[in-house]
Amino acid sequence: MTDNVFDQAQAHAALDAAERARAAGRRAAGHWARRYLLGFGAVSAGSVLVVWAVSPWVSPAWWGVFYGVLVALFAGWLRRQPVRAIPRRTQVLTILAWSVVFGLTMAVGIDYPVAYPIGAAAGFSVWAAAAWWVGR
Amino acid sequence: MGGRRLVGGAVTGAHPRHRLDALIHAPIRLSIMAFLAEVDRAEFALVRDVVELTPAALSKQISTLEEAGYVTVEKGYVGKRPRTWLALAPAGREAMARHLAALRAIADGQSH
Repeated sequence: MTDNVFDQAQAHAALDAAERARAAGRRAAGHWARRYLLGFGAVSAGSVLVVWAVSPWVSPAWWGVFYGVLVALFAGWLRRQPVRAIPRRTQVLTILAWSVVFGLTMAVGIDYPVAYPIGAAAGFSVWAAAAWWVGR
Repeated sequence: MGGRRLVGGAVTGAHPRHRLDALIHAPIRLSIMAFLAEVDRAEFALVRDVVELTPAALSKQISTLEEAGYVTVEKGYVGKRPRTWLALAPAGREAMARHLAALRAIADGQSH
């Protein structure tokens, strides 16, 4: 045993306690990150399908307002999360990848409406991949 | 900002116990720090539930960690409800890493 104060058994007990708390942190982080990413993926895909469904009757000028409201809603939702734990690099890469998919969908969809459901599925896949990545 | 506090009163020494951080050494504070190490930030109520403390007791521990510069506290509102967010500061992450390394060294039976 060590010379005094703190022995191996106590060190093991402290490490076990720390590991239990870290595991609880990892569970909470994974749960809320997956929930947020999948939720954002579902709503962003749904928004593209809405565009597809009503674009023949609605002026494109309204899409700016529509997406402004969506972004505000998600910012509010993110703020309500009891845990924030999405790694910054994953967050940035996901937003960049989704922006590319979204931009292409909107650009191509004007002339080829079939691009909307394909883009919605591809966009959701980006968020689902991020959810898988943080929860793995 | 608090400096490094060491268990056993000694500041230097070969045994890994000299590298333990007295502030983190308390089981409750160790649990709080370990939980926060896994997230960017967490709501006060969630940490309270995980470490199974009363709000007053958690507040006291958080104040101690905040004074040492190990934890940051951010207060705000979600709608009309007040919220308190807790996060591990960079100094807290470093202190936690040092403390865990010292614990592992002791657990492995190292004497220096």
